[in-house]
Amino acid sequence: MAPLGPAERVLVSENFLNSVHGQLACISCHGGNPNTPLTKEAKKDAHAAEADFVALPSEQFEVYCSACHSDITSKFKTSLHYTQNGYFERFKVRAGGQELSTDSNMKAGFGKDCAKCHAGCGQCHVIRPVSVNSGLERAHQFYRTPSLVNNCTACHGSRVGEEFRGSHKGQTGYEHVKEADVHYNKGMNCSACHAADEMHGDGNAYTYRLVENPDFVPQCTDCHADVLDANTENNYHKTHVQGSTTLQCQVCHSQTYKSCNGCHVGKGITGSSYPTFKIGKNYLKNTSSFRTTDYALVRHIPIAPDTYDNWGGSISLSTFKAAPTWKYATPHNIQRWTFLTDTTGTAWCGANCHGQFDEVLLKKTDVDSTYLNAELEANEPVFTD
Amino acid sequence: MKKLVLIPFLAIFMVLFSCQEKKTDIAQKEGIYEATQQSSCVACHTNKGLLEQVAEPLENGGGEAGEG
Repeated sequence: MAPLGPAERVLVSENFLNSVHGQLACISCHGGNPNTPLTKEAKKDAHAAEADFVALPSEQFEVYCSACHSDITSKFKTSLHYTQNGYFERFKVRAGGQELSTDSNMKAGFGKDCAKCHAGCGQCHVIRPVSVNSGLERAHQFYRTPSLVNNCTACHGSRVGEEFRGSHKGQTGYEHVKEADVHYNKGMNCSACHAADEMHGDGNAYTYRLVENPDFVPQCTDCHADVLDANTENNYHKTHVQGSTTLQCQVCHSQTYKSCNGCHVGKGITGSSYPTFKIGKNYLKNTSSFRTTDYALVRHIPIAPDTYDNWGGSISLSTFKAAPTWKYATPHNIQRWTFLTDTTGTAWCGANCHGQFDEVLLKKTDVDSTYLNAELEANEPVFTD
Repeated sequence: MKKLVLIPFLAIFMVLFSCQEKKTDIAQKEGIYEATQQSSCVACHTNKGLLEQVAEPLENGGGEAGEG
C-alpha cells in the first residue's frame, strides 16, 4: 500500500462537497475554527482543541453518526472491531482470569502498543486506518464497501493480506505457494465473504469470534454447498468431510502460510515470522455447531509467557497454558490444486499427506525450545503425536 | 389569454426554484446546514497547492501492519 502524501491525506474533493455528507458544514462534525486565515501560522488555530476540533468524529459515532445510522451504531458499540474484547478475553484466559484493565501499567501498555487496532466507522468508510497513518482514502468521500488494500488489509495485512494476494510466491520457505487465493484472482473483495453484519456486530457482546456466532464466520459451504454431490468421484472429500477422520476444507486447499513468534510488544519468543503449514488436532472440536472437524490448520501466534513484561504491570500470564499458541488458522490462499491435492507424479492424493509431506502434522518437536515446557503444555490438545 | 399571463410568473417561479440552495434531508433534519461552506476549512482543504505548503510530513510513511 503506497502511503498518502501529506497534502493528499487531507485533501477534500468537489465530489465530496456534492455528496450527502458534504452537504453538512465541516464544523458540524469536526468543530474547529472555520474563520481563520489560510496560512501555516493559522493552521493551529483552525485545528485547536480550544476550538473543539475533532479529527476523527466517527470515534464518537453515537454523537456524529447515529442520527442517520442508528441501526448500525446501536449494534456497533458492542462489536469486536470496536471493543477489541476478543483481545481482552484471550488475555484474561492466560492471566488467571485477571482483567487487563485493572492494572494501570498494563492498560497504558495496551494503549500504546495495541489499541491502534481498534476501528471506528471512519477507518473503514472514510479514511485509512490510524495504525497505518490514516489519511482521507477518497478525498473525504464516504464509501460503503471498504477498500481491500487500503482498509481491510491495512490492518489485516501481515498474514491475511499477504496470503490473499500471493505475496509470498517465490520467497524462501514458501515454495509450495503457486498462486494468490483463487477468490482474489476472481476479483472478490473481503466483503464477499465477510458481510457487513459480521463487521458491525449484531448487538451482542461477543468475546471469541472463532466459536460464538456461526453467522459471523464464513463457511466454504456457504457458496460450495454442492462440493460432495458435484464431485462424487473424489474419495477424499467423502473420507475427510463425511468419513471417520474429518478435516477443514483449508487443510487440503491452502498453501504455505505465515506463523509469528515475536510480538510488537517486544518480549517473547524471538524471530518475527516464518513459513508454516501445520495440521493439528481440532482443539475447538464441538465447542460450537460449526467446529466439528477432527483436524484443523494451525499457526503459531505471537505470544509467550513474558510477552507483556515490558509493560511493567503486575499481572502475569499465570495460566499461559490455558490456550494453545498454535491457533486455528484460516489461510487466505485457497486453491483447488495445492501441493497436497496435486497428484501429479504420485500414486494418490493421500500419499502427499501420509507420505512425502508428513511434516505437515504438528508434533511436539515443532515447538520453540525457548519456552519448551510452556509450549508443550499449552499445545497438548493440538499435537498430533 | 390567461395562459399568456401566467407564463411570466411561471418563468420567474422556475428561476427562483432552481437557484435555491439544495439541502439534503439529513441537513434539514439536523438543522446544521446553515453554517456556510465558504469557510476557511473548505478553502484550504480543496486547495492542493496550499495544502502542500502547509501540511507537515509524517515520521512514518505508512505501510501494512496488524494482527490478521
